[in-house]
Amino acid sequence: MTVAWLRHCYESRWFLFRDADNPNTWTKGRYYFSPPDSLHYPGFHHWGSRDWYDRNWENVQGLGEDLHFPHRHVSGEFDGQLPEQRPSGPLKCAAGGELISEAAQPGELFNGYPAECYIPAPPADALPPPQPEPPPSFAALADFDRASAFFRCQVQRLWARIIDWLYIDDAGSITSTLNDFFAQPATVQVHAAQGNLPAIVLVINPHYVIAVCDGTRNFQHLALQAFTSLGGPVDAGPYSTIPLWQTASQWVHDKIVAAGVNDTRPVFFAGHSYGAAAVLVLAARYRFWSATRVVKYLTFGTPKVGDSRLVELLGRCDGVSLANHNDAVCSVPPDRLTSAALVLVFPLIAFNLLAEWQRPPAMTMQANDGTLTPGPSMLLDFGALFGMLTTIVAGGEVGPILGHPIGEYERRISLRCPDAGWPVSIEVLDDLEEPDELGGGLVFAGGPGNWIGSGTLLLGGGDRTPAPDGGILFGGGDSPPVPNGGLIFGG
Amino acid sequence: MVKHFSLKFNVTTTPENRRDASPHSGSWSEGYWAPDEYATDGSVVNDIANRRAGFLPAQASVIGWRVQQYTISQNKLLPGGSQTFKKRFPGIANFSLDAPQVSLQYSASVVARSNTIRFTTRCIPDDNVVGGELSAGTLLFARLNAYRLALVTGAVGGIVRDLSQPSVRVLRIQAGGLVILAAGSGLVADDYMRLNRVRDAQGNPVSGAFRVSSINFPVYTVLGLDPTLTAGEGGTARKDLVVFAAFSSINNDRVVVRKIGAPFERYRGRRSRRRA
Repeated sequence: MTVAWLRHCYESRWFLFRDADNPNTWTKGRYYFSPPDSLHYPGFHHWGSRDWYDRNWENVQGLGEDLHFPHRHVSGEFDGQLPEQRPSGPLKCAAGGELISEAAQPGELFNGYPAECYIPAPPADALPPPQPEPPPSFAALADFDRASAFFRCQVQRLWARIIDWLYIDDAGSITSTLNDFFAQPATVQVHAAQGNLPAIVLVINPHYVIAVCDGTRNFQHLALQAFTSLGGPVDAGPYSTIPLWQTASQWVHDKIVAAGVNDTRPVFFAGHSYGAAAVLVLAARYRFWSATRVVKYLTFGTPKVGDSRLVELLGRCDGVSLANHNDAVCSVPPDRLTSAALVLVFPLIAFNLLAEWQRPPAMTMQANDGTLTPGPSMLLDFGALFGMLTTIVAGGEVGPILGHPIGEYERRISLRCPDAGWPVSIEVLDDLEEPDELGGGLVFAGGPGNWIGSGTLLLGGGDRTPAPDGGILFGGGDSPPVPNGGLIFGG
Repeated sequence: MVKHFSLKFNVTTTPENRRDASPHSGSWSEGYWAPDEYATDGSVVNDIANRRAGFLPAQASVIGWRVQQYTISQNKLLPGGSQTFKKRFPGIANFSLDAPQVSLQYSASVVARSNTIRFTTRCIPDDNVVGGELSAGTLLFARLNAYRLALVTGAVGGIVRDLSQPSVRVLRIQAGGLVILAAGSGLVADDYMRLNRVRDAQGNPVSGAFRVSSINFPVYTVLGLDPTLTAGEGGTARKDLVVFAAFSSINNDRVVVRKIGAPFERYRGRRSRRRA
């Protein structure tokens, strides 16, 4: 178990016995780096490092590390098998010091530890103990509901942050955050990107599965998608899409199956950019395979992923695709309207092929201040698309697309919900009673003067009194305040 | 008994152009003191950590904290047990990170005492530092206020010298560690006497805390003082005590630079170099 925060490991000696009258009653010890998922010792103890003592004041030796024994630095590597992570003995022994008479008499040592610290492995020929089928766990499903509440600010921020960490291969942050987030035990797996295939985070529980993908990591990868999209979506059976996205979705599916998920338990996908396209294709496939499976998704900066058949399948899933208003990736490949002008410039591009691309359903625009508006993105500025395509055709490198990085999505989410706390602590089951403050607001065609209350849903515009939490307004005009949970049609 | 909470931070830089640079990780800690009854993982420390993360750039996080018990004995600290926690409070994407060493120093007053405590927070978003001084935008201004308010309302603080003890003029110091004071100082045997602005016969400063072994007023015999040292009139003596004092108000002081150390979480392989 972890007992200290350290930058370097060292050997020293500790005073651990409270009744020691001999100053030489010390115990030699050595720090080693613990695995990232190690538990921290659940109580006070005296195995901490003196490096953290406040040197602004004079410290007097008591129990704990010898204040004057010279440190001998070691690598921190642990050779051999680590002992089990479990406290041995009552916590008060560690907190208050042990008696010499109670000291363990080490017998056989294994890796420097008493052999008792290791749980003996069962004989190789022993039959596994019978395992009853786990009952349906409401607690686990509550975890899934919390994690897949894609309309909540905090949840959007959580997955945006996880994806950002995934881009920089920060598996430690991902694992520790998700382990803290889920109340019920869940296995977190981080799979690194492989070639053109995205990195994946899987959260596996017997009652649900969550898959999260990062996106395009380099220009060559982006160019490959751009060029292949110019040929129009390729028929994949029940829908059409780019073969690369189909391959990526299969890569994610293979990882899910390899993790032991071969049933129709609820699934939630999150992804950014190319990863968003991959998980949307997989969501459509899962919907095609099972009409009743719970399939939810949350994507950031997804391009148009396929034809109308794929969009129809996605429409029978549950999710939202966030698109920053100046994220050009969300507008490519060009559809019928925007491609009409382009074929004048690029006659080789078949108008009908491009026209097959369709935006995913439930695309929601996120303005620079984080405000949400539903519906398709604004028509892509022809000049911007023309410039980008020209650069690609000329073999140049497209610079960072403004509004597309996952960090920009997270920034706008934070602006929308500036007071959203961390870690995510919302309880979806309590949504109707206690929506989180300033979270989850959604404005449909709002006019000046509107603002988003917690869980407020505004349809129509006009200057009106802000709706308290839970109010639902249809229509515009000058409306009286809506009481909590009220429902008003008309202005 | 008091507790020292030491928040642990981690930062991983994100180079704009990965052809020129690779990400680097570093760590630092920031601490404050609290009465012993404060829970090690209670609402106060969680709230403070959350608000502290509220003005960290997205590349930085609060990754946990360490709690160290101390017993205050006169002017000394007796370290007790410690406990560590692994947490995750990430920064927000609203702030940009340039050099994480850019820090903000605060000047805090404490309740019912004249002491001032200065402490720093590192990794200040430095697009809010202009001309070498803080120029907080609206969001950072609000987040700083929230953080300082959390420290004050949380009734946390620091360890300070007890300046309320009477400060008595030193008439002279005689060989053998005999200090003659002008008036009673409240000192009793085994207390510690702190000498301030005292100079010996050669004009060298004599400072520090010395244990009082016996008193024959106005002569105080102290241990630890050079037995040959003599001094004339000048300077003061005060009973040396340290106490816990809670913050009463905290003000921004100035922008400073503080080092970022090696990461607490070990390097885990090469970071990806580029992404579109």
